[in-house]
Amino acid sequence: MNGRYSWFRIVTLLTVAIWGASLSKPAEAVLRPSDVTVSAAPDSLLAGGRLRYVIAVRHDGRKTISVEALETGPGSLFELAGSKSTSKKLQDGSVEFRMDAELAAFGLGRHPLPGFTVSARDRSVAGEEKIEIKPTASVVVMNMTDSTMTELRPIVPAVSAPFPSWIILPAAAAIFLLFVAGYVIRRFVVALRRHLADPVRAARKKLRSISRQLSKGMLPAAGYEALSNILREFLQNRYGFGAMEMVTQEIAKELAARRINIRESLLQLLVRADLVKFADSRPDIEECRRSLKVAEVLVGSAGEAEPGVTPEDGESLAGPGDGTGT
Amino acid sequence: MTKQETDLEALGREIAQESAFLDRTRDVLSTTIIGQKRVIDRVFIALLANGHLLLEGVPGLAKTLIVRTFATAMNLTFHRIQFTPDMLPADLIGTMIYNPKTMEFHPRKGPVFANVILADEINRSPAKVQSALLEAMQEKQVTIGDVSFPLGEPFMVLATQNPVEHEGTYMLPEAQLDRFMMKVIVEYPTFEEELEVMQRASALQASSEVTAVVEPEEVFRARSLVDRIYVDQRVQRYIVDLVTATRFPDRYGLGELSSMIEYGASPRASIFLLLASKAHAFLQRRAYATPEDVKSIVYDVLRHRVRPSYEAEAESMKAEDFIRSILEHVQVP
Repeated sequence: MNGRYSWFRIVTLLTVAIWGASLSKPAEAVLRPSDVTVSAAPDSLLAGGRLRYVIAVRHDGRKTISVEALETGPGSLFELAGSKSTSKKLQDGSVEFRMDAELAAFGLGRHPLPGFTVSARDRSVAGEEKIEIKPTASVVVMNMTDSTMTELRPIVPAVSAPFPSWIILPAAAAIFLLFVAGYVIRRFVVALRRHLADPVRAARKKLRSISRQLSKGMLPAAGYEALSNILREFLQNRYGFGAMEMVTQEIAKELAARRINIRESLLQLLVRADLVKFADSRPDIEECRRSLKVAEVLVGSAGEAEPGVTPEDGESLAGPGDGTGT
Repeated sequence: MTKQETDLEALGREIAQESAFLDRTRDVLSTTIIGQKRVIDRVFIALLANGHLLLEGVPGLAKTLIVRTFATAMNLTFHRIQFTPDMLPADLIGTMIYNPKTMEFHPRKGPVFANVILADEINRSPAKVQSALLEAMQEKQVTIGDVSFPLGEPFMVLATQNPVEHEGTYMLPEAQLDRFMMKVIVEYPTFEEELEVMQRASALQASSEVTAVVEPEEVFRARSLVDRIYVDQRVQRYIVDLVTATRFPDRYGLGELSSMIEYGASPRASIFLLLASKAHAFLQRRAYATPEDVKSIVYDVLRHRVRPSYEAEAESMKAEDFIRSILEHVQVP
């Protein structure tokens, strides 16, 4: 018991000693007022004029510096118009934090430059150190007008921030990539749309669907009617004439005028479909299937060849005549 | 082969046989008429479908010659009636004549009693004469005194309108125009046709006399075959679609025509379109009608039944323009 107790006491004492040591370690001096320099230009200006106020803080580079509580704004003689902060590594290894502020000065007479607080935060050690700076330098603010004034004095233009030239290359690259991506997407969308709206593809899909429906009990006459509609829709979409509003004879004239290579076989199918639709001809299911297959081949060949260049491809149809005195 | 198919096949054979008179008549007509094939076809259609024709064309296009030769070749009685502003209904249908010997009135039939009537320049006579003729066309009989007399069969009126002279004319009201199955525009002949017309007309020898090559019974048999021609429901619906589109163009994606058409075709147009389509199929020796038959005669059946509005007239649009638009928008079955 005593041995265990003594071990516990030793460990506790060691822990307290280490903690105490860490607390009692003196903090490094982070900032000194001499590390902070202040400059302002011009030293005299007209009321409302702009003053360039530069605060520079030198440090060892392990700290994060910020300027706070700059005495500007309501109740102050100075108004902050804009500011920019940068950090730069110097040759001796130290780092210079620089805040370039633009102040508008109001109120007449000599005024000390506005005070501020520099805050330093060491990245490796918790805690923050602040140092309050009251600049001794001053500016003289003069009246905008006086009795000798004969012309309006222009307001001093705002100090423009230098253009960040480093951004040009990435921005150009990004724009280029955006254009490339847009072009590729557009090409893809157009190709997809064309693929989906392709009359050959659509017609073949529908013809196959009719074949499947025939197997499920669709009447061959209905199959022929659907075949006629699919072929006319295909002609309308593929060759751009109103085949849906045309009778077979008109379609024949159009196909002849355009010298479309599949016209004879196509017309045989349409004429046969006309007989089924208008002469109450009753085809058998096998004939209907054959016609659907022929139509699929015709549609496929029309999709491959451009109109008006090749002769009749010689597809033949196996089907009975109309038998109604045509 | 189904019964329907067998019936249509048999009907097709009958039509092929019974339509032979068409070729004989055409042969006869070709000896005196050059060209005008379309007009002749329409006359055949009107005869087969038991309708009447309104012919419109400038003078000198052989309208009278066509009708006269047609009637002679078909062995039908023919009367030409020149309508004038001083004409009375009695001049057309006849009147009761007093016989002093028997001291009785007896009817004297007018020129309307014939198989084929050419009512020349029908728009030159006043409305009451026009009405008398149109009533005869509708009823197929006329009443003289107290007695009604049936008109001969076949009975066909071919009326002409002169579109050039409008002064002193009485345009047919729309309700009366509607009784004509078709309004056919007689066009000028082609260059070659006119050359032949000129050469034939300048010959000093009189042209050969037209002889009758058809018996009226052949016409009646043909009419009965026309009645039996098969018209599928799809074709019938297509006909009604076309006629309905003249009344409600917006239902067929022709909203712009709504303000252009004052009124569309009547149900009589559907009836005549069906009958004329069947007759056209007969001319093609077919036992069934197709949308092709409908399209072939739709202009002639509808052009006088569709009235353009003032707005359309201001834009020089005619009934034919509307019909063309409708044909381009109504889907063929």
